[in-house]
Amino acid sequence: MESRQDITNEEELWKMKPMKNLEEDDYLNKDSGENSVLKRSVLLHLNQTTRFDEFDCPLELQHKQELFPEWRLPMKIAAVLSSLTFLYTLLREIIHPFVTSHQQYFYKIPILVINKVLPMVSITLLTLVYLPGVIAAVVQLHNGTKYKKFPHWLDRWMLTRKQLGLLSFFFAVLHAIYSLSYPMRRSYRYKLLNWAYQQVQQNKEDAWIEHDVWRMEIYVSLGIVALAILALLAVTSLPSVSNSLTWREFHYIQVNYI
Amino acid sequence: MESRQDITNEEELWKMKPMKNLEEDDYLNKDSGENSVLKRSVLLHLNQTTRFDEFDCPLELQHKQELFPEWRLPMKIAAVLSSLTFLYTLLREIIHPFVTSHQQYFYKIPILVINKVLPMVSITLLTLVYLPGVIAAVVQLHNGTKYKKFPHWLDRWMLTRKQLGLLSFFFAVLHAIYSLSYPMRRSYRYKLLNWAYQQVQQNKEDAWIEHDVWRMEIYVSLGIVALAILALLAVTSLPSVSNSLTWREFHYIQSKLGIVSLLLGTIHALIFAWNKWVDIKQFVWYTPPTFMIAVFLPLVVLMCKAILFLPCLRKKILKIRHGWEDVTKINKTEISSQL
Repeated sequence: MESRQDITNEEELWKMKPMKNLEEDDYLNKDSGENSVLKRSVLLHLNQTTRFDEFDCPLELQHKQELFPEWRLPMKIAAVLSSLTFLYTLLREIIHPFVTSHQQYFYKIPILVINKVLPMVSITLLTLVYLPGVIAAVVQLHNGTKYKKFPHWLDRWMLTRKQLGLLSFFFAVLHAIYSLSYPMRRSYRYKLLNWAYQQVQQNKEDAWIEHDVWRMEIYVSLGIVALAILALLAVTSLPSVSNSLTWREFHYIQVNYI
Repeated sequence: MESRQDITNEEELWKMKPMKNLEEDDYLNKDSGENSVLKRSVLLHLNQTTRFDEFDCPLELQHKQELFPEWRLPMKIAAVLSSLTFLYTLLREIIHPFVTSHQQYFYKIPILVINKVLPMVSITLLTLVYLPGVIAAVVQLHNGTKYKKFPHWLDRWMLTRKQLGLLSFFFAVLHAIYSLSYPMRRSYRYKLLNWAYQQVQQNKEDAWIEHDVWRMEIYVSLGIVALAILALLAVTSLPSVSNSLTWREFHYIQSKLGIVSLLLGTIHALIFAWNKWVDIKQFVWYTPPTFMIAVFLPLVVLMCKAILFLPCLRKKILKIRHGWEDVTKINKTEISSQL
């Protein structure tokens, strides 16, 4: 049957290619042979009578293909961290005022609470990128050699550093956008108007608080620079860009820039 | 002559490579042979005496090369949508107040009117990415098979889905940046000062309007999440990234996360609207506000997707896509084509 012929064609075409992870250290190359992924290849020589649409990966091949295996652990870590931080912030900022003095701050949940979760998760994930390197150095010092195998959990951890870093960048960008959206909100407008009204009532001429001004100017500037450097790291993680860099260049950016 | 040698060198170097569209459907491959693109390759072995600058593609080759053929239709659609939305918003927000009550709101054109055009175009283009999929599913259900050719216009439409999606992301990012720039403007500063002055004059202690606060918190948060998902879609459209994904991963992101971003964008628009649906002031010269027009087509697509997800239809579609053919419908078409 035509359909069966097409399936055999497809199996040849959906070749197995070894996973190329240029940023992994060499001692991890033993894993790369096992983690082969089926890559889509160009189905050029199929004739017109076979109409494949976008859903047309045969069911047998679909079950063999993997769905982001190396992202599973980082996503779970991020999900757990997010939930914990969300509940913690909810408890401190919304439930506490409600229970103690019946103040309703539920409007804070969509933006303000989320914007406490995002930077927490982002910086923790970024730390988890560089922590295994520190542990690996201590292990190597302890062993006195680099040829002894790392513990399995450290191995697995070092394999996911790229995904942890990219997730950290994702959360950092979201944190930046949420923070930049603060003055846009109605809640801020109403608060500003109320503060102006109170200032007039109090006959207070100058609202300027010098150290508060300095604090915000400095930390906003530092945050933007940090985001810029993270963006550089993320760009060099793109397959085409990392393929065009030498190992020394890649190592300089990913390790030394931190 | 050295230059002729160089040109022959160049022709060899500017090799013809078949266009790789890994995310296009396979039945469209009959086009890929014709649409070959000349790729630049590294001019490594040219000696130093030949000075090539970046404009140095010989004129004969230039005429053979194509200029973004697959982007033509999406760009035209975006341009037409932008112009129509711009004129519509101009009419409702600037010309109407000027004509009826001589209020001058021309300062609104550079940011506020543009920021009504951008989300409208963005969400419409995103809908146009997922609409042909719905139509194709209906066509396949109707034909009872996946092996019958789609109509030509549907074919062409499905070929441009990537470009439509990337344009939608582009407009969405611009919309986000324009929106984030609102409190930065002088117009907003002067308005704030005026409102503060009026509040003092009215002795109004609390300016807080609870439901208005909730409205904005929710829709801003949803908009940012929708943009984040769209960014993920855009990153996986990069050739090197999409090459490193399996088909299953690519399909998961582009199809499932994609429809989630359309859903979040639609909810973002609906919550922005909030109670404007029943606000008579929104209906200027009997015209509906922009968000009503923007939200209509996405709601249709989302509803169709929901209907197609019902088990009875879903199972049939999956069967058809895995090769099953409805014999009764094929026989009917064969008979009708023979007559």
